[in-house]
This record gives sequence, structure tokens and C-alpha cells, in this order.
Amino acid sequence: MTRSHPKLLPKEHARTHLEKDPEYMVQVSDPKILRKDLLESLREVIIFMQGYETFRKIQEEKVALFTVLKSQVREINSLVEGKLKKHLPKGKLRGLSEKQLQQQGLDTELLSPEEQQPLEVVPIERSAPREQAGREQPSELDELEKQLRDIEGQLQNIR
Amino acid sequence: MERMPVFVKIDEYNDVLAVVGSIRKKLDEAKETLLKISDLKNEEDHQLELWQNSLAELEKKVDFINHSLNEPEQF
Repeated sequence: MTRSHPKLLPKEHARTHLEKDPEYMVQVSDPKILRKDLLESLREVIIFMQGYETFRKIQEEKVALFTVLKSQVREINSLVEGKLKKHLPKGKLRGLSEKQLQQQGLDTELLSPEEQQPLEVVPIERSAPREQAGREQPSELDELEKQLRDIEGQLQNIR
Repeated sequence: MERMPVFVKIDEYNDVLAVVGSIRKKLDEAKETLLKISDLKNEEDHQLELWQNSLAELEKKVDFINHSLNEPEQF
């Protein structure tokens, strides 16, 4: 006797049943809150990603400033080593310490940098490069903002 | 031995003053750059703090969703 439906062997059938995940019906007592939470989580994620964009720009700016600082220090070094040293005689005299200066009655205020008045703090202008960077890559941020607006709209519908 | 004053002969005095002036100018520029870097670092720290808060908030929400799906009878 041959089986008419070889595909529906009970053994195989049972195996496919076992492989499949059981389907549960979960009753959610307050679906509105759950939905609201999901949307708010999405909003948080988008805000997080926007923050990442800001962070990346800050880091790029910082790297650029480090390069500038490096070149400035190099210039100072070349000025001291190349130009200033050339004008001064080569000698084996050591610089006087603060104690020695005080003993000699010299004006230490002029010589020690700690005693000098602090320089006036110049307000930092760096809105321009960031705006420029924003103009260069608007698509990613725009996309995030669009998604955020969508989620806000859905959240308002829930409320 | 008594300390005697030492005089250093500088031939191109004005040139030296000019070099010192440009060094000072460069130093001021470097200080300004360093201030900007410090300001950026503060901004970075602020951004990290915001992320931390945001992540904590997100974790709470995901926990709530997880609980309501795994243990619905408790809600």
C-alpha cells in the first residue's frame, strides 16, 4: 500500500510544527501607552542621531583647530630657534631662578608669567564654519528632522 | 665671588624687539586657539551628558515595552 500524500508524513509534519515558533496572542492592557512609548522611543533615537551629527561636527572642528595649533606652535618654535637665537650670543649662562631674582631685588613681576595679568578673553566666533558644514550635508539631517516631525505628528494623534 | 652684572651685546636691537613682538603675537593666537579647543571640549562633554540622559530615558521606555509584551498580566 502506497501513501497518497508523501509530503504530509506525520513525522515530518510534527517536525515542522516543532521548528515553528508557537504563536501567542498577547493582551496589551493599554495599547495607547505602549504605542506612545514606542513612538517616543523612536523620537529619542532620532534626537540621539541628530546629537551624533552635532558631535561629529564638533570633533571635525576640533581636529582642524588642533592642526592650526600645531602649526602655530611650530611657527613660534621656528621664530625662537631660527630668528631670536641668531641675535643673542651663545653662552653658558643659566637663567636666574625666582629666589635669586628676589635676592637681587629685581622686579619678578615682569619676569614670571604667573604674576602677569591674564589676557583679555576674545569671544569665540565659530558659528560660520558650522553653518557651512551644515550647508554641505543637509540631506542626512533633513531626513532625520522629517522623521522626527512624522513621529511628533503621530504622537499628537495619540494624545 | 661677588656677582657682577652681565651685559649682552645685541647688534640689531630693533630686529630683536620685532621678533619678540611677533613671538608674543603668535603666542596670543595659540592661546586663542587653545581656548576654542577647550570650548569645543566642553560642548562635547555637554553632548555626551545629553546622550547619557537620552539613553537612560530610552532604556526605561524599552523596559516598559518589554514588560508589557512579556508579562502582560502585570500591566
